[in-house]
Amino acid sequence: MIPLVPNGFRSKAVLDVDAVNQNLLRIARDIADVQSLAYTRCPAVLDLTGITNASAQVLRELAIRCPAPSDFIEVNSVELVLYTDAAVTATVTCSDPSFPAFSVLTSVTPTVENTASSGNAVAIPSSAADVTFTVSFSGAVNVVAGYLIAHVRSNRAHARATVTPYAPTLLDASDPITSARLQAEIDAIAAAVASDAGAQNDLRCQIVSARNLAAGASAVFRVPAGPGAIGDFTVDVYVVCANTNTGRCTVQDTGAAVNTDVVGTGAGARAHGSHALNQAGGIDPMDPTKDIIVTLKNQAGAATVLLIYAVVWWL
Amino acid sequence: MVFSAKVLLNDLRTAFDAQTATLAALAAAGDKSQARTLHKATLADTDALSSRSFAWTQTDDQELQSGFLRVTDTVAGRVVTLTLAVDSGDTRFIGDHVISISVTTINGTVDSRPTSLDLRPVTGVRLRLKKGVRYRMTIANTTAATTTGVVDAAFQLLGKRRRA
Repeated sequence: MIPLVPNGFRSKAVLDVDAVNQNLLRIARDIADVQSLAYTRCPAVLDLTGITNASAQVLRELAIRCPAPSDFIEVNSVELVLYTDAAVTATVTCSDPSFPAFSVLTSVTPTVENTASSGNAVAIPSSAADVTFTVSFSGAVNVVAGYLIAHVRSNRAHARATVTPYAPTLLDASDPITSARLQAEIDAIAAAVASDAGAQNDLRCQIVSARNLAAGASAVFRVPAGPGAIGDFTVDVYVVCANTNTGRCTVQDTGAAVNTDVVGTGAGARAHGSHALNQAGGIDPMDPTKDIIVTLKNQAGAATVLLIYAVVWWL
Repeated sequence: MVFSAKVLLNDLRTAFDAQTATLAALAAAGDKSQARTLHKATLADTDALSSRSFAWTQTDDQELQSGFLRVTDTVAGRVVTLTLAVDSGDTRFIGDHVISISVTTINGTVDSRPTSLDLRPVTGVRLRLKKGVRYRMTIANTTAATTTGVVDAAFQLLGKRRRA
């Protein structure tokens, strides 16, 4: 869109009430248009390769939370993709009971892709507690390959700032057009525009995950830079391992590396940690030196880290 | 802008123009990137499609911006490819464009980001991944009886803000 006011006041020496009103109405419409463009989408993907029906629940589960208390995100569709070695019913449930479960009957042939999806939405209301999506099976099965996709939708108008609407007070032919009167309208327009400028947080996330990392082992992932990938925001790290072990997530672009260490809470429990990111990266996806590097590592302890994944949030 | 007691029409025009210019910039500010990535510790020519591809359904229209394929190996001469296609094989969503990157391994790391897939310039080809369509990105080791080292692949997409 190209916001323009219809009257430039170039051809006439006398201020016309109708001309000013046309401008006020037009800019009010343009402000409403820009402010209503609030939603951004991204997929959050958890790799399920290697799980079985006997895997602990936390190993079959995608947990997600808001990166900050006043963010507004929701999951508005979920996809399940599985390649399995047995014919069982795979079901996805959510910790929020308002989200209906959905399922798929899998194939005994590991090269056959089994998919199911749900278009239902569920809010992610908290930055202190997770909403989880759990995959469970009706019988014995090995997941040869597969993943769960939670399609996230964020609303920037609720992201740490709300936008101020602009409703013009139109001039009347019987009113004197004073400078104060015009000033009030211009100030109201400026306030509405400034409030939109203050709500530019288009939350998007990227999940990287690794399973069964032996002591000292690590996996390195690479995400290209791009508009909005600079101004990194925060990372949520989830770890499933013994309480004698520590999982580490390192995020680095062109700035200093940020480490998030999370001590395990047992093989059947999920531990969480988060860290703010404030890296000064590039925006050129064609330049490998600008890539965002995410490393997941079994940082300390002799036991295997059963699952570690990082939800990297960008603004 | 703060008006004086007597408002010049020029000043009024300037005040409106300043706000519309800011508004225009804000309208474009929602263009943000997202990546679809694929990572594999090793890639054999015999690997099943299940372990070397990622398929997803677009929940919004997004434009393809670029892609890369990066392979680390100890042996030179293996050919690895990355492709992006409509999962159903219906080519009408990407026309006749072949979205593919191919690299030949070296003893070390090779990283290919072809300029032919740099679709960021204002003019030229636009490839839009459409909402509701399922796409699949696939990596393949096309050299017989070989296994590479780490393979990283990504496509960069550009999304825009929506009203719903």
